[in-house]
Amino acid sequence: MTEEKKPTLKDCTLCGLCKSNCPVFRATKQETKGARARAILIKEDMLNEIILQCTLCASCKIECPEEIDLPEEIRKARQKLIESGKETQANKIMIDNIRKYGNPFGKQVAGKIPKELYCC
Amino acid sequence: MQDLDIQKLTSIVGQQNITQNPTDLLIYATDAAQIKGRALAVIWPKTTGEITQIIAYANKKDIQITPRGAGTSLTAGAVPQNSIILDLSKMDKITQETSDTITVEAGTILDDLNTHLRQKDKYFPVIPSSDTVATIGGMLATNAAGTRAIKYGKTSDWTEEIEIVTGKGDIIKTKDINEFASTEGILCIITKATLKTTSLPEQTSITTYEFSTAEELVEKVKQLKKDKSIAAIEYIGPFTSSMQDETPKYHLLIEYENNTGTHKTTEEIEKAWKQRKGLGTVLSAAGYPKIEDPKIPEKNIAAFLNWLKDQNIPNFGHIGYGIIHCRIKPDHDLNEFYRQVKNHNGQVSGEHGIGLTKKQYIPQTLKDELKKKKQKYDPKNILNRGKMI
Repeated sequence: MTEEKKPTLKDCTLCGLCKSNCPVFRATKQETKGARARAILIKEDMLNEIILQCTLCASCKIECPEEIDLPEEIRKARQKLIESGKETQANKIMIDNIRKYGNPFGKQVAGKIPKELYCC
Repeated sequence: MQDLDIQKLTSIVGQQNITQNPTDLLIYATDAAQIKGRALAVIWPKTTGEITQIIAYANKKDIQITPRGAGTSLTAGAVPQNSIILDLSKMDKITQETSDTITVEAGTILDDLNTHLRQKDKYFPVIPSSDTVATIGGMLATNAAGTRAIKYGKTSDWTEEIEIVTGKGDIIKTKDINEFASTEGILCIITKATLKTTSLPEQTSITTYEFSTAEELVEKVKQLKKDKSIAAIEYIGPFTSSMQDETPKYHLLIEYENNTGTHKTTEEIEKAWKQRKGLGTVLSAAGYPKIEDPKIPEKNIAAFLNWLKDQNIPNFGHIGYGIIHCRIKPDHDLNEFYRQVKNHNGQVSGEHGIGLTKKQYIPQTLKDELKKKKQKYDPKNILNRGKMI
């Protein structure tokens, strides 16, 4: 039995349907912040902070007529960014906190609400 | 062309609504046609007044402007040619509503509009396949149609009035929609539209047929077109069907806006449409990524389909409206293809527009007509230069 070929970003036609429910595009109404922008940047191997401006909600994957797993491509691109030392301060703090305290918020006193919340 | 005075443009739209960041320019250098141009800046205007100021500046400094909606053009209509991109996505407000019309800004996304209208059991019935991202301005600029064009026609048929800013900077409100629809941003920037709405159909149902020959298919379509309860008549050609593991015949899908059809449940209807809508993926994967959309007169459709069959060109489309979608290999000779479209008295584009990629195939008479309009509304040729003509 032959394994079905999984579509990759090479199959992306830039149709733009991935931004239909992209929450970052919906909030900003800027093409440069939406899912298609991330697809273009990964295709062009021009990784930068726009790759990090994604909630990984996977709505782009649901909308893609080519059935490309863009969130997975974004995860790989983020890994590359971190390996090349391009990481956000918030991400560094969050990872440190997870390593030290087992949670992303840092040391917590019982019942105390953290003053700062970090997310990627 | 003179250098851009970014300070001047920033003073019009504010710092957060203009960019020359190289990454932003790269992203806006292309659209769904996958052709790269060059953007000098990207501006997100928020009012008609801002657009008039930008156009006044562009006229004074001979700067070109490329208007952009969702960037879903398959003919590079939104690809910049050393120009400023004017992205209307932030002009997305509903400004007025009556019981059967709604006035919206040009950047309003069709699906958002219909989500709003559905609360009142109404909708805007011209629905292209890109409806989840397509903007009303873009739909008017290309005069978009869609699968239900046989019943509902094109965007212009459902538009009562538009507000535009011409290439000269004049703000015009007009009911003469056909003067500006389909002109792909070369005469004006559409800023607002008053659209007609209609009630949602109470019920839909679907019937499917299979035919061995193009002649049988067209005969059935002719007969079905007399039934006014039919909203969509779609077909899939034999070569395309075989790629979907279906019998290599002409498959016809009919959508009724009542319960006449044989498939009546939501599941059955969704399944039937899924097969039709999933064609793009199958054909791209099979090595046919490019899509053409000629419109062929009914009397010549069978002959055209037979020619496509001889050439092994996969096809499908809105046959009730005469639009035959043909999927093409990247190295295919389009000159011969468009010679055949002409020989069958067809139009180059039924719904995707002309843009950059099809302008060499449109008749000189249409180009001359557009040039006359261009002289009237955009004499300095600042709007979407290089497109259509």
